[in-house]
Order: sequence, then C-alpha cells, then structure tokens
Amino acid sequence: MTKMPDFAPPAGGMRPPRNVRTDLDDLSAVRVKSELDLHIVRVLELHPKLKVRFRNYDLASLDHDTKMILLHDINAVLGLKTLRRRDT
Amino acid sequence: MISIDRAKKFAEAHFPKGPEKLAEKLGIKIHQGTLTGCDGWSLSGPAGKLIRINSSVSTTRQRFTLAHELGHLLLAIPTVVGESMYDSLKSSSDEERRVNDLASELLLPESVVRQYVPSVPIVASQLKRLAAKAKVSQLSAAIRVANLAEEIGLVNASVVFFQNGGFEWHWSKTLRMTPQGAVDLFRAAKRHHPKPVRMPQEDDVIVASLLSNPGFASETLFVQLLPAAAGNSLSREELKKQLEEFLFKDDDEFRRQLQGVFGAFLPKCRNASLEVAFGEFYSSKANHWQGNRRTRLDSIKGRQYVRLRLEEWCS
Repeated sequence: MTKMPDFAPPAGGMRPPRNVRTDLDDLSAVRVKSELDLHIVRVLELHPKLKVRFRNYDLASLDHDTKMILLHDINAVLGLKTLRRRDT
Repeated sequence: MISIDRAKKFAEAHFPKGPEKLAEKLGIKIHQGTLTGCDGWSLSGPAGKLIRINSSVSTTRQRFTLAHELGHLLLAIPTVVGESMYDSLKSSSDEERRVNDLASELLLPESVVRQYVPSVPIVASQLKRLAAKAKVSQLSAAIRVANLAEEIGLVNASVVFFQNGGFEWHWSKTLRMTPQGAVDLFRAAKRHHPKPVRMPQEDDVIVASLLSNPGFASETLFVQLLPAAAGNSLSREELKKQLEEFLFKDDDEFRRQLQGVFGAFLPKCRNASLEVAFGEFYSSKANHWQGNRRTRLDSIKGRQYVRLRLEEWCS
C-alpha cells in the first residue's frame, strides 16, 4: 500500500496571521502552583460555558484569599453548593 | 440580556448612576471584597450573573471596574482575572478596548460630555469638572473625551499617562505619538501648567493640558489636535480666567459677592433664554454695586463675563 501524501501539510514553525486570535480561553495553558489553583482550573474545565481568562495564563498575581473569593463566586454562578459538616 | 444601544440609553437616563442602575435592572449581583492583584471580575452561569469589585481601591476606580465588567457581560467577552484598571487601559487587545469603550460610554454619556465640553480647545479644568459631575476619575473623563474627539470638533485627541514622571502608555483611536514626542510635550505642558501649552503642527495646532494626581505620583496629559484657528483661540475656561483677572484683580470681596449673586440667580434662569437672563441680571442684580465695581461690570469685558457665566445655565 502506498502512503497517501499529506493533503494539507502542517504549517509548523509559522506564526498565525495577525487576524487569527490566540486561544485565550485555553485553560490547559494556565500555570497552576497549588491545589487551590488546580481546583479552580478543574471546575472551569468541567463547565466550559463559564468563560474565564487569566492574565498571562497565571494565577500568581492573586493571593490565597482572593483565589478563595474567586472560587466562591464561581460556585455561586454555577449553583454549586459546598459540602457542610452535619452537626451531630 | 439587553442590546448595547438600549444599555447606553438606559445609562444615560440614569446618569450619573448609570452602571449601578443597569446592573440592578439586569439582575446582576454586585459583591465587594478585598482583592489582591486584581480590580474585579464578572461571571455568568446557570445560577446567575455576578460582578466582584475590589473594595480596597478608590471609589472612582471601583465605578470604572463595575462599568468595565458590565461591558464584559453585555458584549459576551470573557472577563480577565488578575487585571487592574491600568492593565486593561494599556492592553493592546481589541476586545479589551471594546469593553473599555462601552464602559466609558456607560459612565459618561455623550450628551453629558457635550454639556461640560461645549467648545474647543479643552483644558484640564473642564475635564476635572466633568469627572466630578460623573463621579469618575479624571483619567476616565479624559479618555472618554478623547474617544469623542471628532464629534466635539477636534481633529483628534490622545491621553498620555505618566507615572513618577516617566511615560507609561497612551490612549487614542486616531492620534499616533512616539514616547519621546509624548515626553517632550509633557515637559512643555509642565512648564506652562496650569495653562495649556500650544504647539503649531503644519496647518493645525497641538494643545496639551496637564491633569496632576500628586497622591498617586501620576500625571495625565490631554493632547488635542485642532485646526489652527480653533486651537489658537482661548478656551472658555481660559477666557473666563482672563476676564476674572480684569474684574477682580485687586478686589477679592467683589469676586465673592458676585459669586454669591450668581449662585442665587443662575438656578432661576435655567429655563430662560440667554438674552432674557442677561437683561434680567443687569436690570435687577447689577444695581447691587456702585462706583468702580459697577463700572467694571458694565464694561465690554464685564458683560462678556456675565454672558459667559449665564451661558452655562441658560437654554
């Protein structure tokens, strides 16, 4: 069997044209440095309709408390309730 | 949600609380909190829409963030977490520019800008009054006016931001400027401050006026390009100052008295024509003064000053 030639050769090594926007919504590019970062990114990946971008694909400029507020807000608009310990 | 045109009209009808009322109408919850490394964000999900604002920054900056995040939701452009107001203003992203344009239109409707900037050239004191009326920063007011350059009679305009005396960024839809050109203009404007500086540019004139913000070690330069005839004429504010120097140069008490009379008289002539109000002022109010003061008030310059003040109020 002869190998089919590439119909559309890959354009590797070239910059995309200026009118093509880079995928700013690509969560896999976001750098995560803590469990909390990872949790925020995973929640967003599970709910792709909730669009959030991170400046420089990084959560590093935010402190822990700010990330907790962000997570709280994400849960609120998604209607996710956090688990609470039942008093015995 | 709501069309962009309707949102703008709604904000105009509720000025100066346009963004706040619009968020309320659209059922968007506004939450405040102390944030680090971020001025705010907006989120839209199945359980509702929400805007978070950093409460540890100035009130005017919080209002800009609210309008900016409303812009993200109205235009369906995702929010950028980790961004400050200054980051978004110096961003080269087209989407961020569209969001900021809409934000400034919600905060400062065109009709309000036209009311406070009725003629050109525009000077810093007009931008300050516009900012105070709209409860926005002077920087936001300058950007909005620059965006409306053509509509208000400028060839084009630019806003240049300096921090600790150094060039940071410039904002303009039309006017291109090199950092070195901006710095040269900034130095010239500092020498002339509080008066604007004028520089001929082929058939046009550049008029640059400086807004200082010493609390934040920052300065904003409002640069406008005008046809020579308009650029070389005095702005309303400059003319007003010149006439005040003639009227009150050695008589501060006269200044206070006249301000008091204007304060009581101006609201009454809100719906009157300029000519009616002008006649009424000279027949009923000017008799308050005699001698040198009355002579100055009756002079051509005195009458020009009264007319200028009444123009701000009359229909």
